[in-house]
Amino acid sequence: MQLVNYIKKHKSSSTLFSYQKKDFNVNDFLSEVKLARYHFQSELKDKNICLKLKNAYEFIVMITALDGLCSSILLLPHELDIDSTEALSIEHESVMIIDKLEFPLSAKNDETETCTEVEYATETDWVLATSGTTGRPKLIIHTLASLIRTCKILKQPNKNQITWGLVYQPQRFAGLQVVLQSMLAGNKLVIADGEFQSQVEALIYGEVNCLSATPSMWRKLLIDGKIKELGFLQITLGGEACDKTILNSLSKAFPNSRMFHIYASTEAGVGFSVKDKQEGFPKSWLENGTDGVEMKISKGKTLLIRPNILPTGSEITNRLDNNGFIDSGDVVSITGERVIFQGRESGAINVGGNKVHPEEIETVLREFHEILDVKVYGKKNPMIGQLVVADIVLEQQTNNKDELKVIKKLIISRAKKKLELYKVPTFLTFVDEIIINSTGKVDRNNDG
Amino acid sequence: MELRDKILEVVVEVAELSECELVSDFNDSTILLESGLDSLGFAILVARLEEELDYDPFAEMENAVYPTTFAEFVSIYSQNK
Repeated sequence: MQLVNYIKKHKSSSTLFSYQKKDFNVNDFLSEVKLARYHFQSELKDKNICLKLKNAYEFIVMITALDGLCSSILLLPHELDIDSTEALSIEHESVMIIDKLEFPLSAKNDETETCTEVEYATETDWVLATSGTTGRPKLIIHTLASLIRTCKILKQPNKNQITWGLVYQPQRFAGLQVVLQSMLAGNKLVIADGEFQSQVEALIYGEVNCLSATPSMWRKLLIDGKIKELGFLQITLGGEACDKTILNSLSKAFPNSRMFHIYASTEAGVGFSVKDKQEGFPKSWLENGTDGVEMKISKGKTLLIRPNILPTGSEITNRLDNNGFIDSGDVVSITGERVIFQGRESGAINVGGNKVHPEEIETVLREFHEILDVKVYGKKNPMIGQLVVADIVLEQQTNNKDELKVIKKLIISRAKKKLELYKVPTFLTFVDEIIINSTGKVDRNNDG
Repeated sequence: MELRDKILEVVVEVAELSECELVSDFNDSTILLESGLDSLGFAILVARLEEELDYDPFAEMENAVYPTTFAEFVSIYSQNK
């Protein structure tokens, strides 16, 4: 079934989107979709096209309009550089890159009525680009069915009570999941894009009560604090390893909320979700699987997963082993009855041949009460490869040099009790905040 | 502060950080390999000095030079300022 047909099932007066403090109900939205389809039908029918729109609402109108009309749609984040855009759209065989809309999308009633609605039945491919942290972004081919396979319609007596917030980019896997989930359920979606403070403002103004974000983004929201006035029903975390500290802080701030940690990737689709508010996932899942996903641990200690529906394309098939498992690249370890994420295999710091996962050290440092937030990364060193260094946001900021010296010593001496010596940060830099990138994650690649 | 004393101060700090025990009579003629600092300690020392002094003479050298004693180590820093 095409996306537009899911929307037509909802009551026409219910609010579907809120963007830049303006509400759009089902009727408004469908009129714009109809207009967009009418405008593009002759030019784009059964073609491959690339969407690279900055305006998130227009983007959502366009994916709804083009699903069923085009043969394949490539969804690219608007800030992607020109070279990658060109390379990916050529690989995708796009006949057009739509990066702005040349007609006013706000339909006047008379205009909408004059366009005739045509039925389209093409099964459109939805093509996403990986975030390309390890090289050029790659194309992953999904269908609407594979994307919505795990969308769960939240059971709530009155579905109008559910308001989702979107802080991810809708063109990437995590954001698209939020958009589709909310649209399918007929919930209101508050699109919160732009700078961090305007995102926070939009979430509060829209009275969001369900939100999916990375642990780094949640940490930032908690540090900022304004978000605490919202009564969350559902908190979803994904995209990065989730440590005890963030799970505990969220439970404390929002004791009545459900909390899901989603394990998913652009490559493998949604893997599974952990709902018990604890770090990692139960060890028993390695034997029995969960949500139709089988898992095992590779010799290199990375998590191998076999979801029941995989996206297609050579990028995926090349990465499958003989038994159909895909290597997630996430290093795991078993602690008691839990499988715990250590960090990305590709993100390890190499200290004289010893692999160090920055996430492990961050988890240790975050437990110190002086530390509000931290980023650990590698610094190039001619003698030993790399050294572990850390940027630290203090709970109580100070510019007093003597005081900072004492705090540095204290942090290092405590870290030495908890970590092997080569893992202890050799340099501490005090910063005002830890910057997160456009995918909501911490970028640790600033030095070697 | 004299360059030598500055470097010595950092050596002591790094020894503490990397849990190395410096030889008790550490002086200009101390052989570096016998000073008590291990390879992690030296790596931290060079990185720390680069931060303190704003240059890394080892990275700027065309031909690698390996100082044997502490005095030679200091002279590499003073000659390649």
